[in-house]
Amino acid sequence: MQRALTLQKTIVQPRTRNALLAACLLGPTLVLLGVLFVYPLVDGVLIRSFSDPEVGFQNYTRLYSSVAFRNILRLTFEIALYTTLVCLLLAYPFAYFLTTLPKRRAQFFLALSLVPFWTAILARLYAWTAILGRRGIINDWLIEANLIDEPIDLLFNRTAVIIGMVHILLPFMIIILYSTMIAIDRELQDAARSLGASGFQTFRRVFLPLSMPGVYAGVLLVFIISLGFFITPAVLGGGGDITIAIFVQQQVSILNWGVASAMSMVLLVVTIILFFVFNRLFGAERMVAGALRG
Amino acid sequence: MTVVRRVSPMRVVLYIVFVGVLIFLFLPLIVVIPISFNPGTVLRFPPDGISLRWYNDFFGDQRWLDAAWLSLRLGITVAILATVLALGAAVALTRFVTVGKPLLRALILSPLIVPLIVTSIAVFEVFNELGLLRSFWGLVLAHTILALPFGVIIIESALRNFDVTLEEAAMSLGASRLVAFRRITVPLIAPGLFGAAVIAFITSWDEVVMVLFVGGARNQTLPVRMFQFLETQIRPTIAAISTLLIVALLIALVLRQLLILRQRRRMGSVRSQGS
Repeated sequence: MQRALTLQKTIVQPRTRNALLAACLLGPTLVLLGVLFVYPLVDGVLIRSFSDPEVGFQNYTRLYSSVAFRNILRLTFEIALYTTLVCLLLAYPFAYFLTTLPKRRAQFFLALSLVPFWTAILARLYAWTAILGRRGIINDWLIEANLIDEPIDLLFNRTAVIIGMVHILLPFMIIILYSTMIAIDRELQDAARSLGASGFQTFRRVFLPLSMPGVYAGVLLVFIISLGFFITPAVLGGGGDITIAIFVQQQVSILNWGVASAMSMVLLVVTIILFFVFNRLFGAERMVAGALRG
Repeated sequence: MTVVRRVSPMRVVLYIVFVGVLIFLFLPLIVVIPISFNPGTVLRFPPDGISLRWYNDFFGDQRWLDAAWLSLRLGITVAILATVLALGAAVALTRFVTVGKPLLRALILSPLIVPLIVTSIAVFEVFNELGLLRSFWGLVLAHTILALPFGVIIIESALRNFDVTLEEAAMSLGASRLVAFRRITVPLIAPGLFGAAVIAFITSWDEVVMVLFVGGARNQTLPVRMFQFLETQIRPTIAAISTLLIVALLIALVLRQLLILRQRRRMGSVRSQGS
């Protein structure tokens, strides 16, 4: 009897009960996100950008009219763009090479290339300062080899920032490209070869077009993440290399919350627009694979 | 198989890029370890000798140890909280939510999309009003928000691969819904839960920006202290800490691999028993 009752209970699932259960299970998460994430974004950034110190558009007009603003935007986009391109140029052949290896070995090397990805970011940034610094390894070696007399400046510039960012983001690009490439049917290439296409032709006319979705996804994702980088440019960049994120932090440190909020809105809006494009094309799920290490 | 492999110049170029990328990826790890044993303040690579001076710097300085301890406590708390919340949310999303699911998922995933610096300045005021500023629990909540999206995605996919009929069978045998869930579902999706917890821990363990903004001077986590140290000093103490972090990571990865192998072997033996 007892058993029959339970059975009946599980089969008949009243909608209200499910709604209640869903509310209980989701409730804590939604409250947390609502109070400490959504509300702060609206109140602490959006509204503040129009109301601090006084109501109006002055924060935006001040940003827009300053030369610094345009330089900051350009620099941020430039760094993100170069980072993305270098990632693509390195990851594409790397992932392609992996697909030509036997599966076991490919998986081993893929796992291997992810080891640095899990390494603490500060540890990696420190390593770059030790490699590139004025008293760092490269300068040390060059001086010892009598190639230069004075140490050269390799650190605290844009190149150093891009090197650091590429190192952080390259694994994302590799994962996305490899997962696209491994899904390409090898028989298509074999067919092209058997019909007389050369190796390069097969690559260009068959493999490359089929791998393009991965390229677009990877490029967009890496670009989006790059735009918000703060720690890497702060550690490896020079004093003049002010990205959007660093500008926001500087404004906050002089308690200029209004301008900081306005600049945050610029970054947020650009990010959201790019993300909608990404979501439309590839779905939000793939974002997770990538955003794993922002 | 059907592909004839011959060594073309293209292949050589690919090979060089492949090796180059691997070297580039591992360069920081390879460099940091020898530096950490370097006796002098000036960087030498390879080092002139071997000394544990920089490890002494770390283990002998209470501030470093406090920072590491704070990071550890924070990471574990975040891992537990985020996994529990994500489990609830994932169960609700996969089983009970019928209306507005895309919107809910978008909301839960949104902390991934918003740049950290924006989130950090956004929460400052609310944290201040709620008394969460410069507090341990404030940091826990901040990091939980960042870790939630990963947890929900990972547990959701574990639940989707889970055969619901197993839970229904338990319930038809008299288990209550809660008991069936706890005794059948949770053990079977345990790898997903563990994965979610690990990612949550790493998210917190490696996070700098939010701690800088809402943590205050008293709550210096290990990465924040490393960040501030890097800005002012060039002592190789950080090399020693980095080496410790790298070694810990490698041990964790090897353990994970062993676990996977063991699980596979067990699965294999089950399968052979069945056949």
